[in-house]
Amino acid sequence: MPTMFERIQTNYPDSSQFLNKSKMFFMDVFVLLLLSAFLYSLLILARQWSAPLDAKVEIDLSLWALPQYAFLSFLRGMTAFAISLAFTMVYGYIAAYRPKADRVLIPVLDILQSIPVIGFLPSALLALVSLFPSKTVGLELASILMIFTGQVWGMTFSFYQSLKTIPRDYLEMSSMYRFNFWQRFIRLELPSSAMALTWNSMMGMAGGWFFLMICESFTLGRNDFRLPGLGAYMTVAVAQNNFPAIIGGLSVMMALVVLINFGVWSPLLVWAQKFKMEEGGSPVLPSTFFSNVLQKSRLWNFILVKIAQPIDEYLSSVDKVQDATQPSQPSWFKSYGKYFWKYGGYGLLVYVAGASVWFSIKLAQMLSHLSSALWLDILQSTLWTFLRVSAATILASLWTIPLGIWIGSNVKRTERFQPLVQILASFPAPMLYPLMIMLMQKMGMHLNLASILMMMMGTQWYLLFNLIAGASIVPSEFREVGKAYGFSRMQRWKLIWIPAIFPSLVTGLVTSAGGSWNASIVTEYVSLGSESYSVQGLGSMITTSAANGNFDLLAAGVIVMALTVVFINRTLWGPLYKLAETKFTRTL
Amino acid sequence: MAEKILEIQEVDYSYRADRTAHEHLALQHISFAIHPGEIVAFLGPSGCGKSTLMRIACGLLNPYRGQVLWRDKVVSGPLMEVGVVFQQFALYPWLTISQNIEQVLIPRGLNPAQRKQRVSEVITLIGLDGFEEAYPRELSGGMKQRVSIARALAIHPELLLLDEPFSQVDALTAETLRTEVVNLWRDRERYPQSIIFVSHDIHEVVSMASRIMVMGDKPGHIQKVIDNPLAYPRDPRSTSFQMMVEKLHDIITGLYLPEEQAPTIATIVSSWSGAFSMVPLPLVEVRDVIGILEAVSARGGNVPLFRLNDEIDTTFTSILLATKGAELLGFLTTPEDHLIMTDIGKEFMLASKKMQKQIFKNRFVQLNLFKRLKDMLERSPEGRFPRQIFLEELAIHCPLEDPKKLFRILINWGKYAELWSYQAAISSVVLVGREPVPVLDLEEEANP
Repeated sequence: MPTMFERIQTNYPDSSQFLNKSKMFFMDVFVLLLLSAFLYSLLILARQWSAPLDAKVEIDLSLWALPQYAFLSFLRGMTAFAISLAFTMVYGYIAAYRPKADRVLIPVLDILQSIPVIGFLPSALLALVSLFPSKTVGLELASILMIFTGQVWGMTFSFYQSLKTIPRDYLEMSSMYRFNFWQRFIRLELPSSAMALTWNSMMGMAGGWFFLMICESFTLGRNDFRLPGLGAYMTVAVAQNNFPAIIGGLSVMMALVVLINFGVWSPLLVWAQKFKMEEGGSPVLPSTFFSNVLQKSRLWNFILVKIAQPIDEYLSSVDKVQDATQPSQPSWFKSYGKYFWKYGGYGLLVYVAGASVWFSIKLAQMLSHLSSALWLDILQSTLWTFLRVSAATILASLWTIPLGIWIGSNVKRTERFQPLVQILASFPAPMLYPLMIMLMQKMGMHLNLASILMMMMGTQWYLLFNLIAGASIVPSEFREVGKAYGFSRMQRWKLIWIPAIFPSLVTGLVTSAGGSWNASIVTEYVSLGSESYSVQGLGSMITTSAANGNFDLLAAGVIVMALTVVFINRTLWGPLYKLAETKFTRTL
Repeated sequence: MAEKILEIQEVDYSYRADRTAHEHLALQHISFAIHPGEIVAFLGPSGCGKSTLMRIACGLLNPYRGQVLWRDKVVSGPLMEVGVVFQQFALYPWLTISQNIEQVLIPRGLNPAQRKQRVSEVITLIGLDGFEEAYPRELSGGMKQRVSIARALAIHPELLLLDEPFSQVDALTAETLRTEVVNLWRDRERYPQSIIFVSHDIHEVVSMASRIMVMGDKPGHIQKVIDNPLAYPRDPRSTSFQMMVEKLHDIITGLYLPEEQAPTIATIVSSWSGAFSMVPLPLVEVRDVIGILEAVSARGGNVPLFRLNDEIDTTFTSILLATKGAELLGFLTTPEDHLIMTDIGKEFMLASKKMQKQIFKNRFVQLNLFKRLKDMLERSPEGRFPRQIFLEELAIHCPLEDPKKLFRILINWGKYAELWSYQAAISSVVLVGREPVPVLDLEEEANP
């Protein structure tokens, strides 16, 4: 098929010649720039990592320092994302394909995702810093690991789900015609999960940015750690109550989020449309600036044809197919691989079980130091946080449900508002909290209310997001029936909208309530300048105990929070999910 | 035909972990062999394990007991020599048609140039020229199935395996594709040598297969093997074809409804007119049957046919048809040109209107044709059947009758017996007690 270019060329052979060349040149330069930026960032990363360890870097609050800090934070986010992606692939693959593995791995994932980021802090930090005692790399890795814990879980869940829902025919087709691992991965599994994975990657990135301030500057007992970056910049600006710097940091963060959104996620989301499972619909993809540049770049095409394709060709045809009628002579890799999986799996299981028992005993010893009064305090705090999370979730539903339906029910509105909501969801709300506190002081608002509002600021977007997505796929016939039979407003809500969006509503509620629990560590304890404001709650308890180096209390708080979230997931959201899947499903 | 390509020996299969229990077997004691140059069909009700058997035959599933042999060697994995056409096509929506076909050639070690050549070869063979760069979602069901077939042929299979290949495409396209597949197979120069396929469509099986394996369920097993010696190309309108369909129908009915034979049409009636012999239900309304019974009853329950013809004011054909109807229901016997009321007939005449319906119903439900249709109705989840499918069934079943007339009579008999009714609004026959809610049902509307 002739490319757009060739067509132009054949139609206007003379006049377009020069234009084509100059355009092509421009595209190549663009791709070249991208490549060099990538290489440069690797260099920066290496330099930053190999710098001698300086626990508390001085943060320059001048606005000129901001771009550099933003770039460093961006690099951390991207590195964490690369790790998240790798983790997702491996974990999701094992959970989906190893028999019975998901019975263990999925609940583990569930628990991990309900642990607030500070819960990972001490272990990550101490382990990694002691691994590289003289270089910054340990600290960097700890920071990246914490960003990673904000990104990864949703991605892993989605990849696992995608693998599990690949149509049986597609799988059988790949095994009947003897696809090897690579071919199956590239032609079947990755495309099948592309849509969900891209979407969840975007959400994951947002989750990673959310705790950026904590991830780049943290206090652990007497030690104060800080890494040059946007998050640390904001922390210092807030600590010094430097208003211009706060606004500057916010603006740059906003710029970064917008840039990533339009530079990475929007084109990726458009591209992922190609891998929709549904039949029908327009096969023609809307082109984006990015895809245009790539398509027209000779350099990119060169990379594709001369490097990527041969690699794919090689990997697809390596591991020659054997005659199925011969008692197959397995390669050493395969036969040992089998043993590896079998005994390695058992070994790992024994090891993990042993380690868990050991750690549980240690943990129990640790927790047994806590007085019963303290336990009572923890329970009380949990109740408070529970009430705040509930209030935030209910308040958020009250305005997002009507708005989400209003936006989602109209294609034009969806197209207009979706990117905005995407950006709002990606912006790390904790950076706004100092402003919120200032506002609170001005208006004489109670901190309890402010805390709830801050929770909402962080997590309501997930709800809105899901609602828009849910409402936008409600078949228009449903609405037409309502119109044709003159349903009243009440009837339309009861009979059409609520049932139609119910599955997305539940998903949104679970994500946003879970997020609120995690966010409580920054919404229940906020500092501005030399002052700090806190309300009683599990979140503030975790934050203060980490800052004070009270590891017993920290561990107790984190465990109670994780258990509470998992408990709520099982008892409240689980049945609602079932209901959504059975009664309100739209798959016919 | 001593040579065997594929042989299945005493295969059992179970999807359950505790495979010992007999009732959990999906397949039991399956044995057969496929020879070169055959088209073998597996015919059976849904859920009898046909598709599972196909997956075992091509090496996708390993049998739980027994073994699969390919040219006398034990099969331990997906067979390289078998091309499979999946029921739902299994085309990857993100790959173009030619990419979809090309994928299966990569594991066979063909280099890019060879692959390209092979792809264009099958695309031309299957008539997909011009669609190389199209995506599956741009194609109709029939075209998708063509791609799926082309993909299977691209590997030059010795055996082609089709799993309910045409159940997802419209009837006309299916007819065309069947012919094309048979033609491909008849071309001995090319692959495949043999074809096995799964179907629940008698017409399809008769038009394609040279050997038919009728399967039974619970657990799945081969009940009967029937040779289909009709010469290719086969003409569905030919009498021999219709006879084969009829024969297969009867075999299946016999297998699935193993009850005593329903009353056959009396020899005397059929000797009067040979055309009637094939009619399982005379084209007569219930009121005419009752009319003839009243006439016989008024004449002492025993009257010669020709006297009746002289005495009542109607055509001889009407009398014959009504007599036949009454006889079919067991109300009359017709020895030697006499019409004699049976005990049931007498009982019927003495009964109240309500009881009459009951007796009529009791007799009616014993008819073979009725059983077949009732079975169809009861198997459909909503207890209804579109008129069109009913008509097709009748056309296959009673090739010498006008299906529309027969349909009307059948509906009226059923209506009288209060067994089913016809709902014009939805063009469907509906079992009594299973009528749909007469308002617009949201979910029904959404469900195509």
